[in-house]
Amino acid sequence: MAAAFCLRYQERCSLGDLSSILAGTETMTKTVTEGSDTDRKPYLRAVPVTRRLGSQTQTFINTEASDQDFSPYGSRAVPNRRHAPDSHQ
Amino acid sequence: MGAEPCQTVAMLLILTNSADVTADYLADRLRQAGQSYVRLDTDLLVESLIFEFSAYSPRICFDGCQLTPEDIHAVWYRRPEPLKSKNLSRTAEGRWALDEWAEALEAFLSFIPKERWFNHPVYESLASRKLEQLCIARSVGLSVPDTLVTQSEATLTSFFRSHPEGIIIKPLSRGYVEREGGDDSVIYTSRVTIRDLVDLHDLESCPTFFQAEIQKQFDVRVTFVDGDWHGVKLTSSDELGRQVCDIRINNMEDVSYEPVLLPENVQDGLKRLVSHYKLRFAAIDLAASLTGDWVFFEINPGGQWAWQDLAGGMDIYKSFLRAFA
Repeated sequence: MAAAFCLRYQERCSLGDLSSILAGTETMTKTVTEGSDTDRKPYLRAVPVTRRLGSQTQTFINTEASDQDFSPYGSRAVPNRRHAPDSHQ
Repeated sequence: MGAEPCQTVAMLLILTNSADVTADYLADRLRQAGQSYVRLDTDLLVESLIFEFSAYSPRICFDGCQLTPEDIHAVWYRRPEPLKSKNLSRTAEGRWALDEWAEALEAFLSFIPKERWFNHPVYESLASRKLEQLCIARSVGLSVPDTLVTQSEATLTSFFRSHPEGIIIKPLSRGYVEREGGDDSVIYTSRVTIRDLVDLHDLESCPTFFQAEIQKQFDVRVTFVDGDWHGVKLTSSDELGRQVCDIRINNMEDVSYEPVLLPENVQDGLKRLVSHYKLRFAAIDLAASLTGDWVFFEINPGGQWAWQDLAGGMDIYKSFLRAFA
């Protein structure tokens, strides 16, 4: 089974697609870009955690379910220098 | 801990990683303006920082400088990543130690009141769900596109037929597919054609995001910084002279920028939106339609903005200097 209909619309990513808008600023010595607006920002853990059902008052402390029972979403963490600025329609 | 308190009592803390070029950009302006700051890069700090908690108070020490949470008058929550250490990341025990580090540092940060954060990660997280955003935006009076997330062929086909102006597809989470070896790909917002609907066998595999296509005059990026509003019109045409479906294509080289004032009703709606989410910073995507309606697409509580200064002649950094002063 194919993973997702939306993947039909993916395009090969070349450096030119990476929106190297900040390239050439005085603070850089190589071509790098701003990250995606929609990157999830994990906090500091090797396995990022978020609160589970019941409370979202803290995203950077342990989960509700158990002090040790983390809900990882690390697969959504991506390097922040590699994306275009945002999602536009 | 053997270090003296920093000379400057009120300090801006920049929480990010060493590859964050937006932080580089603003840090440079902060230095030029004589505004002090401390930058913690989560991929580097473990080797250079000392943490201590005693007498019911946490402290961090680095570069010979000691900081308590009370010394931090503002936190710019940029792009922190899971902690890294060239010495610790290789082994299970080392990774466990990094979790101990994370707990210690997060404890330090938890002493800093939420109102000092741009934005507090709790508020940022709550504001980061596209579908919920659309509902809140609609409730505060903003116009939003008709939206469908489905795995059903019949539902998608019906949605397509009910929108003769067309529909678009875009990722619900992020538009980037990473592969080992670097052969990555991107998924831009795209028009769905009738040919795409002939075979929908892969639709049931995953919830997929569709919207009625807005016939756009131009895109608008609004950047909100602690009460300041920066609106910029983004114009880029396709081969038929229409505003492009996604302004990010072609490395945005064809995009022209122009400051734009927001209609009063739109600004009122956006004020209510950022207030709802308790955000002090937000990057918001909208478009003006051919019929003059302003349509909300999404709000990015940790969105990018420096590219507008550098490519579009904006001065958004000045709002940050004011906010962090």
